[in-house]
Amino acid sequence: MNLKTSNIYTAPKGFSPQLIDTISKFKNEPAWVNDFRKRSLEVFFKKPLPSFGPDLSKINFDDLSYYVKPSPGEVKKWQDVDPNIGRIFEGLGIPKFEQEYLSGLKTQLESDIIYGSIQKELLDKGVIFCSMEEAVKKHSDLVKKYLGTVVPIADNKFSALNSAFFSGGSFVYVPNNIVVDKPLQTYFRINTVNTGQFERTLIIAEPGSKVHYIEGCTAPNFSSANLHAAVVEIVAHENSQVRYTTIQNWSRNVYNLVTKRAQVRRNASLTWTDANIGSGITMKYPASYLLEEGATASLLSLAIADKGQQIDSGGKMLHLAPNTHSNILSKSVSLNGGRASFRGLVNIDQQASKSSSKINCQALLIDNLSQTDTYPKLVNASFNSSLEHEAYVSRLSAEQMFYLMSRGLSEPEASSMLVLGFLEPILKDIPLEYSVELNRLMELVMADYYEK
Amino acid sequence: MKNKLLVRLKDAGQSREVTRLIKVKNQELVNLNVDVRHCARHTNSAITIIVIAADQAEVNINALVRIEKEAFNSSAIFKIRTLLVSGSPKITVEPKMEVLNETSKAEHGVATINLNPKALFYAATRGLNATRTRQLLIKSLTKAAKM
Repeated sequence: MNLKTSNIYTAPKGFSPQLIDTISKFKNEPAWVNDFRKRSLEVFFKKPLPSFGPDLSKINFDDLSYYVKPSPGEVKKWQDVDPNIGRIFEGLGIPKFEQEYLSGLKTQLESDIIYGSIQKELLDKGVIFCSMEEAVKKHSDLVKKYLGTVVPIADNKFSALNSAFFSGGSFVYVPNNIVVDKPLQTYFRINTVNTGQFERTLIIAEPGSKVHYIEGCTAPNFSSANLHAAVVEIVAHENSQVRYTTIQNWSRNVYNLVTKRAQVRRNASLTWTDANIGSGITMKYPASYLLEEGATASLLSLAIADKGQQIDSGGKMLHLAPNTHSNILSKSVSLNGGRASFRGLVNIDQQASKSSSKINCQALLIDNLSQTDTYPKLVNASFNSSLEHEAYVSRLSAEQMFYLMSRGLSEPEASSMLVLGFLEPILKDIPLEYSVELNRLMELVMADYYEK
Repeated sequence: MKNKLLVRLKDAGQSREVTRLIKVKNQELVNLNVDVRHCARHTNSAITIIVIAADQAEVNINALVRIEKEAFNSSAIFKIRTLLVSGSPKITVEPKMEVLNETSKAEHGVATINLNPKALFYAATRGLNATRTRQLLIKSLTKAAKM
């Protein structure tokens, strides 16, 4: 679906400190944010492109617009959304989804959040779920305390770019011992060609709290590139439980270069579910820093690499305290010339005694045009900790295909059934509504594959 | 100790099985590069590396197993078993795998483990001293990894 929208402001292509002033002026943000942005831009110029992974040399930073304002501001009711914009999200079924399954919702088009809601009872309990623009003004102390502490400006070139031009994204704050029953969700959409989307998400879960945050991403297909360089920072305090689910279905012209990281404190737990189906090139490695005793983290990573796609995903687990435990399960499917790579790091530090980590990478290679790789790095410096890694690459079983086809299923039906069975351990962990969509999507992908 | 292990399977039907044991202690440092390439159809490789490390020793293993496009129906198995015996040894393993042929199978596994306290206790109750018990456990690990 490619519904056109007219933007209120589109920044000229390319970037400069003046553009940062323009953004700050539009957002009416405090001086410290403007200063943070300008420092970040300096770092961006100094940092090289990543020396590993897909080729990013074709990104033309001068041919992108770094700030696009689609509407006058965030509204709290769907009726108040510009009908042209509202139609996009209605087409994606977002308002219905909000009513039935969510505690709160933000929708972001281009650079800004255009709609936001949160259930009243959560507001009453002190839960904050707002755009970063609103957070830097209304909750400046909290944002100032945490912004850039989990993902430093100089972490990589794209975290610096995000820090310079961040716009949109969500700020979530869950007070002590508050449980947010239903998920909070932000939906991201890029609708304008040659733009960059640099949302910034910051989640603070105070001791004993529990929250599930979901993000979904889509864009129509354009002939030239769009860049999505988000930064996600999570702080899971003592005994808290945080789940972060991503369903990424960008169009094939999008470079998806995202930095996600969490600090996990004493006895807290963090779960990343990271499904990458779209984009041309993805580089994304959600990281968990297990900082205090008893912290646990897990990552479920799913990648589908179709024609022209290079999905370079994985994760990092850094064990920096005793009795910390982590688990990574990665599943990928490569077909039609796509390339799926798992890149991971597990580091069990010397002081992380009695810790454990398990990594399991499974890849399906459907045809001879495609490629699959695993690039793990495993470091164990604690003699009484255990670290296990296993990986295998296989194809669709000819015997199983034969059996299913002998029962009357067509080749596309049989193969999509086998692929879905292969992905099942991750799909069952994705919210049901998305899981159903992903099932349907895989059926379409396999049907399309056999038609060619 | 040779610090390179190169395996090139260039002829159809070629197989190669290698087991290498690395024992390090004190402040020894071992860097091992493993490079396994399947370049022809029906090639098989089974590489096992066993590391037994103690004290402040350090072992770095950088491995690549690659199955080329033309290596139809090939199979690659790559295993690393690491036993950290005592002290604070450090093991870094990068077992990379690149597969370009969908008819082939590849798998790798890395396990870093320590001496099982239950096994140590059991052996002690059967009258074995600590040194003998360690020797037995290391021997069993070596055997298991070769299987």
